[in-house]
Amino acid sequence: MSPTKGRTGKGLLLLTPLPAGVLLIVLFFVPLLYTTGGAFIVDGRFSLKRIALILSDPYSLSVIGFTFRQALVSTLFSVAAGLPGAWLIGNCDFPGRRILKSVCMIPFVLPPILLVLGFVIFYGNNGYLNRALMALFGLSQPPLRILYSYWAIIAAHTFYNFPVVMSLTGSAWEQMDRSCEMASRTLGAGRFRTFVSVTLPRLLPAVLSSALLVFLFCFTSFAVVLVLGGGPRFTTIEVEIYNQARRLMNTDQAAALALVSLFVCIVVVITDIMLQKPVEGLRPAGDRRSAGKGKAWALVYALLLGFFVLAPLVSVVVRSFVGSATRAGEKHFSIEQYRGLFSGSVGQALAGSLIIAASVCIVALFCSLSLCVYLRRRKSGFLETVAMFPMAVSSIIVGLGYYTVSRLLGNISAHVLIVLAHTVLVIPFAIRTILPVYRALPQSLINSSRTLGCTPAGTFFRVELPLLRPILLTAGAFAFAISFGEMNATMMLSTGTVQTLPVLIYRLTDSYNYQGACALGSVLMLVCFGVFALGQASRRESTARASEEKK
Amino acid sequence: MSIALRLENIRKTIGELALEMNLSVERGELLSLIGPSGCGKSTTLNIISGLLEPDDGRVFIGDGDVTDLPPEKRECAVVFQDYALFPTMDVYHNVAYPLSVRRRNRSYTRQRVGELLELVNLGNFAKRQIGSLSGGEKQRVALARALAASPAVLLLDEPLSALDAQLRLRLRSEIHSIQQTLGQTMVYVTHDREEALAISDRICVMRNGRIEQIGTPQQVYREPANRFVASFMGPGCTIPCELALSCLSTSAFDRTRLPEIPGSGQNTVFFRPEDVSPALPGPLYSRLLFPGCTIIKSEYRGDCWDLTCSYKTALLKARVRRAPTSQTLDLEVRLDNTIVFAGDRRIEPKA
Repeated sequence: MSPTKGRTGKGLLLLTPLPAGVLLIVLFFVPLLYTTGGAFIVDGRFSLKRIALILSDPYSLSVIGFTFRQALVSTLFSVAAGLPGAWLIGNCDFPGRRILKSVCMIPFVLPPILLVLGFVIFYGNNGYLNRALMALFGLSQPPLRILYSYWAIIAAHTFYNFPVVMSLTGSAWEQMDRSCEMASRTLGAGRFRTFVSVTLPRLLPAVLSSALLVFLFCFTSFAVVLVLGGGPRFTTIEVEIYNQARRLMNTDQAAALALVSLFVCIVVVITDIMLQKPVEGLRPAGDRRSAGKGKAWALVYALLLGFFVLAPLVSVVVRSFVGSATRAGEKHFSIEQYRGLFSGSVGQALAGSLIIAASVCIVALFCSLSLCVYLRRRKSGFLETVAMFPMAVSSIIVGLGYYTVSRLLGNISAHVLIVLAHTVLVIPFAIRTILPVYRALPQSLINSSRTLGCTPAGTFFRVELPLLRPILLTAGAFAFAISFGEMNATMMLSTGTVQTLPVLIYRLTDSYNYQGACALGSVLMLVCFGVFALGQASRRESTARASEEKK
Repeated sequence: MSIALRLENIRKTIGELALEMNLSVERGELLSLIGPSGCGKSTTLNIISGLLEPDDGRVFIGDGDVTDLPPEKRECAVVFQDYALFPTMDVYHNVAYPLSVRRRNRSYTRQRVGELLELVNLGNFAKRQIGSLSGGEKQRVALARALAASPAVLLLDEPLSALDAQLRLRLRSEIHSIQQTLGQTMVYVTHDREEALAISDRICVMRNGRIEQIGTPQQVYREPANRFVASFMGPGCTIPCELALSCLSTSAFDRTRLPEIPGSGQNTVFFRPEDVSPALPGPLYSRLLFPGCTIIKSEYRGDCWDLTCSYKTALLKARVRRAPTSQTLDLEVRLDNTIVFAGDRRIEPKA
């Protein structure tokens, strides 16, 4: 029996939730409530008219209906495409397994705008795939016309999200204790029977949870729909919120739509939390079956993965070097787009993005860490939920909140607004990354430092912080990458003077300047991968140390 | 001898456990806290170190009342069961930690860490990383680190329980000899009675948050205060007093040594297996004789046999040096090796 809580410097400890708490209340809850509150005010009085209007207006209803439909279909496709990969990751040992797992991380690392860009470049009517097919079969017309259609949206969502299913379900499968399956087989059940009655029930929570996450992503998807859908037929709630607020200047209508989206997201998140019960019988992998059959499947799957996910990304890089004097002019190798990177509006966007991401990284890490200091010592379900809440709210809605409030307050620099909005979006991710590791630090280390004569604050800096360094690096990398690639809230907030890299990519794509967009996209990709690799390296360092400790 | 540590009317309730304690430890003494899990021994340790606040009562270290002081001001270092070495520092910096916290100068620190590492036989381990150490080495580093704090009382919380049996034996004698050399006051929590018997000056046997008995190892083993202490400190057999009376080898004189409260039938006689031996013919010293016991179970232990025998309504355990030659045998136990319990409490034999 060891005490879980030592006596700590109580005065100081009570201050630690303040940075994150104040930040979230002032910068998240107040704008959110103020904005959504706007949906209830008609002519200065409380009224449900606007909500009722939304729910009876055929156009709004069709937008809501389309949002649901595309999210549902995208989720189904993602699960169907992701499950075989999950099986591979969870059950087979083959060369390149780690690469496959890393590829799965792409959606978590790369911003959607990049994938959309890659999608257009590769699958577009004038894209690499069509041109290859035309050259191959001597066609005069591009055979695949998938861009700007319902199926383009579904396909992009599926390509972007099936790795989520693959990695989440796969790692659950990987950690599942094999002894249950072995027991079932020795008790006389066949392969199929064992899968249905032993494996599947234990796997289902992970499948459902990843499906819900994908649904959430697709439901609140912005960049994909904005670029590939666009017209009134293919508009989702998020895009419509953007249209209403920034193009039609009708923030109250946007607020009413935000309320609908918010409701759905919260329901999904709560469902997910309720589904998550502690899974028994997890243990580190080690006894994976390394079947020869697995190898063949792995090859097939890797090819598909390469075709659907990597090819568009590679074509972005390739396209960035292809220049032409005029629209129809001769194609030739060129690095002219990269020359412009460090000057003019492009240079400003790049610098702006870097400054914003670095600021977000620092502010978010500070707030999250100090909140984690508190949460490690005092369990507070309330504070934890408050800190996680921004996860349930789409970035468009966060942006909308800031936009509405900033119009009230007047002169606030868009840079500052964007940094604050990103910080709010990033804090839940940072806390989710840091807190489990912090909680897993043995209390005896801290107790030991105290009994050896060190004060609580001294113990934090001398013992806890060095132990947390790797995970802080990981969280920092995540924070940086999320902020660097964030487009939605930024578009809601950006004025003519402030551009970030993703927003600029969108604008260039929108104006068919593909080479410019691709050059910026390549830079974005490079930065995201670099930061991600840094984060992964420090995570490996910490897990290596943990396993060394266990010996 | 002066008092190094005193617990005065300590009370603490955590869940099921209601701790109530008065305890004092002399300077240079090694006191073991022993008892079944959940009896409050680690809780007691945490109250001493200041990691837990008592609900009531005072803690004194030396002459000072430290009840309201935080752990870092108490001068009692703890050696934890999981070693609690800081994985971000090497061996040298772990041991130097208490000195660096106290801002000792560098040359003193270097010399002191060197001495301590020599003391725990890890002279050339200073640069090693924690992850590269074995369990025994880790525990030695933890000990050296705790000693570096020059604690008034060193607290050890089941320090050896994560190690294998052989290493446990070696390390416990090392801890013991370091304790003797330095004259270091220690409070040692363990659930291993052999460990406690081997190294303690005094043993404090606990149950359900209370002290059942404090005494020297011989006292708690040979003169347990009650039946719980008797059986916790080692195996033994308990037979009703009536049965024992019928087994008396000799005179009415011995009868007075087995007081029976008439009619209660609650008194019992307790003795340890190593005191039971095959009955020998010879001088009729005072003893209990169990003729014609049937062997139910026999376990070979290398240097002896552990027998379980039935005698009338009772089960007897005997540890004998020679292999039994038949299924029945006569056993005896000397009367001065027996303990009489009235109900739960031990009764002093009449002279």
